Amino acid sequence: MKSLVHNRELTGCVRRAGLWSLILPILLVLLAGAGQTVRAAEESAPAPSPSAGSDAPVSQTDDPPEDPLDDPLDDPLDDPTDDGEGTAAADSTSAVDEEELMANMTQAERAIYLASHNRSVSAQGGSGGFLQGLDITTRAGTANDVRVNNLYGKLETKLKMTGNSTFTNISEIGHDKFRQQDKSVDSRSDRVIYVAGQMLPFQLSVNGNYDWSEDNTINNAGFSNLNKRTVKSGTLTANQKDIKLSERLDANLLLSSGMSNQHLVNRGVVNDVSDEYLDGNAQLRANVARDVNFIARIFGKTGSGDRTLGRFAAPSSVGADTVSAHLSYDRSIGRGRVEVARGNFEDRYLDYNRDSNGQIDTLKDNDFEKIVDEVKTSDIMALEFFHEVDLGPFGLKAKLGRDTDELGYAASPVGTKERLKDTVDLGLTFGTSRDSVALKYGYLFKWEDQRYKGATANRGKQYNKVRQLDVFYGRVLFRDTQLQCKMHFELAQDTAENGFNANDKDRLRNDLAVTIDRKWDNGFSTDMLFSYKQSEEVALHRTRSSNNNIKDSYEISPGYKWAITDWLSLNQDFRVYIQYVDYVYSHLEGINKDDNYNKRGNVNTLVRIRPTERLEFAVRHDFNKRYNATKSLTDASGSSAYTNDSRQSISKIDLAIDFKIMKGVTLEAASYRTRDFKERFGSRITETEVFKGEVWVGCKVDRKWGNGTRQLSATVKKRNAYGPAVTEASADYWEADCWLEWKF
Amino acid sequence: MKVSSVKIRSLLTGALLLAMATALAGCLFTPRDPDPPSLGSQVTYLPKSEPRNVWENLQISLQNNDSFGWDDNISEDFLYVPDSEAEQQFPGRFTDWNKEKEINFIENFFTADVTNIAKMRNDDFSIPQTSGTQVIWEGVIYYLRSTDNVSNSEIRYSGSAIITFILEGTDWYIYRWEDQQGESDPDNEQQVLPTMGVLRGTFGSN
Repeated sequence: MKSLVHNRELTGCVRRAGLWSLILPILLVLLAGAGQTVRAAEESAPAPSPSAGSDAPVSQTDDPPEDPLDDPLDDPLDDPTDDGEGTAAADSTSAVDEEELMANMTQAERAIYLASHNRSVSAQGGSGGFLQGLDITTRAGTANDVRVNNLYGKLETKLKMTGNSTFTNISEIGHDKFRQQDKSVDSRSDRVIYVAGQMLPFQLSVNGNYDWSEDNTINNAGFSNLNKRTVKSGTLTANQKDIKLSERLDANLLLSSGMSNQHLVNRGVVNDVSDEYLDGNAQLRANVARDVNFIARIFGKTGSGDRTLGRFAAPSSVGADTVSAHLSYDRSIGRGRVEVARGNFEDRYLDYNRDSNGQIDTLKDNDFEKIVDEVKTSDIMALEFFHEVDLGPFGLKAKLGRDTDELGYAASPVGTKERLKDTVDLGLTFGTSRDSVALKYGYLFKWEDQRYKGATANRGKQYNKVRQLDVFYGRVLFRDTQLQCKMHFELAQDTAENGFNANDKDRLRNDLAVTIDRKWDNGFSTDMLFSYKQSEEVALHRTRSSNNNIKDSYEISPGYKWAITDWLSLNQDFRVYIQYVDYVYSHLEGINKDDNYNKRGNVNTLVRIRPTERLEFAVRHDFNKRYNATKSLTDASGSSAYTNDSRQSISKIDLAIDFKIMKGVTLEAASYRTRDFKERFGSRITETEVFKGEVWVGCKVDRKWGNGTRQLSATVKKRNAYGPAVTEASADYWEADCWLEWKF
Repeated sequence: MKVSSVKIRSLLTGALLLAMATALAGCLFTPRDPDPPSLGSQVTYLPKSEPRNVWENLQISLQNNDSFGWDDNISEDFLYVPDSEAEQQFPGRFTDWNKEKEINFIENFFTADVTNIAKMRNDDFSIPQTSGTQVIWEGVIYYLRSTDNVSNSEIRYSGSAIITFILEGTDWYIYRWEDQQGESDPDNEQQVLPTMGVLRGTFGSN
């Protein structure tokens, strides 16, 4: 192994020391927070009795030493007169008293109560020892479809302990064999999760993960690639919420630490990562006035480790810090918030050499050119303002935002990138008992600029502007009948500063949709849609503009749903649709573009029959008619004539049956058949008629026994398909998803 | 019939707001005037009357950095499914990769300063017969060589894919692109290249 960087360790140490100076105060505040909660518990408890506190000699025996906190929180059930022969009723009363006592305690008091008395009392008031229960669940199964055959197993163990603390272990194993490729994937994973519950005066969780996989693929040239990966990782998270610092001030603290160890080999190149990190997050919330809150947050992260890529090894490090402030209010002037955030990030790691666009270059002749020691830095800032107010029947909303980002790479030809994004969203609503109107305007302005590594000037900004306007009008026309009208206007514009690319473009969309819905009596409802859409693609450069076009589409779609009886329902939808495509420059000589239209008519019918509780039939018929035509001429008055190019009829019928043989066992079957008839017109008429279809039969079993501790779920289907687009693999195959679960 | 003044007022307010919105839309939503096309330097695509032309059109689009050709040849219901290696390299990025994400990717890629040479079909691929409204090409191998004009470095992609074409009206479109695995570099068979899923992952989120 050859180390690329040697002098970085010292600077890394100095920087880590600096970050520790950030993390340590957070640790101290976290502990102080926990301590303060403990003190609060002490203050809220009655003073210890003199006899118990000062006069009693310190025991030197195996008995635990007396704690001054024992007395005030002493178990009221420890009645000295109790001879231990109480009745069941008395025990029951004791449990209730104890539950009430525990319910009135803070988390810290409960923890002290449990720890100092060495008593095994469930936080929920249940009885039992320190160990409250153990659940073991095993599951093994197979899942097969047209793409892959999969075998899997899972073992989940959950140990429940006092104070809602839990320890969970989940182990999984899998094997995938791909049907259409020479490829197999084996995987194993193990996860452990410990949650401390109310055992500690703060919340604590510990996670550990182990993932292993081997993906073995042989390509069409006969060369195999083994993608082998082992990852071990662990995190420890501690947090303390709602630490009361004063009447109007509270704090949240979160501290987390973790490690990961990855060993990866892909295309014969080793990519190992071993690192650990520590981060802390502190939040202060102040109620500065009535319904006005101010929140300040600070976050810091430091991490270090080692990386190996190919034949090189080098230390790695990561550091980040973020500060943010947030002011929210809910007063007579309205509701709103202002938020400001600023963050920095630095990551040092071994990386593949990339080109100026960030693509990984793995084709260099030797590792010296292929692998670089990278330092990635990022500096981000975000501002946001939001305000909303109700003025009688009117509602107003405004949201303004700005995000900036500076990204830099020390080694990569990407160099530095600057980004800016401004957003404006304005909304107006108006409502009466029968009418409602909403207007929304949105504006997005963003750009990205790049200075390649070693360049003396920036490339130029790539601008993107989007304007959107939405209008909604709703009205109750009369009883059970609603009218809704929606309009959407959108213009998106791409512009490259100094014309460094030829892709400057505008896209315009105008949509209008009107719907009328009515619910009649006796389970009958109708709906009707009228829609108009226009979209325009405008490439600005002369080398691209020949494809500029305008698409106008019109649609009318009525439909109804009719629940005739409990066991019979009927739905029908009709749709008539036409789209015209006009190429803007189709009239010019040498532009080989023809204006055209495509027209469609659909009728979809669905009938559901449920003759018995066990049996259900569904029959669906879809009928589509499609016409395509090309503009042949336009007369002096502007009227156009079109010539038919093709006519197509597609008729598809689906049948589905569900039959519950017995409780938890269902027989399923479905089939469809499609006739596709097409006529093409031209110098001669060509007709094609194609049939395709599929049938599958299957059974679904979902049984539980042994008081629900054992469960079998199995779905098995046999599929057969025919038709021109059916491949060898999809013509005849089994589909299955079966598993057996056992809890004990 | 007497209509209450409240009702008239609310209707008038609604009508006024709608009129304002429409007027505002007319002012703000006007695209810029394009340059008329210059004859002879146009990117010319094949008619979409056959799946092979549609697939060829992607090659023309790549070689001319022209996003229109990509946009115009994929279906509105397009779906991209990555191979497992691309998925592992960019976890979660390919969730619901539809036409919108595909166009975003290709526009970002073409905005970069690159020169592309593409061959979307291997010579020994046997094109399935076209009939009906759907055709599936299994195991077609594509190859893309992308040269960064700034650093002059060259990145290559090759993969085998299952491509589903769908007939909409008289035109065929790419409905589904499922990458299976990386394939060998034609210049060096031992070098297994990444699929275009890795390219999509690189440019898909910019």
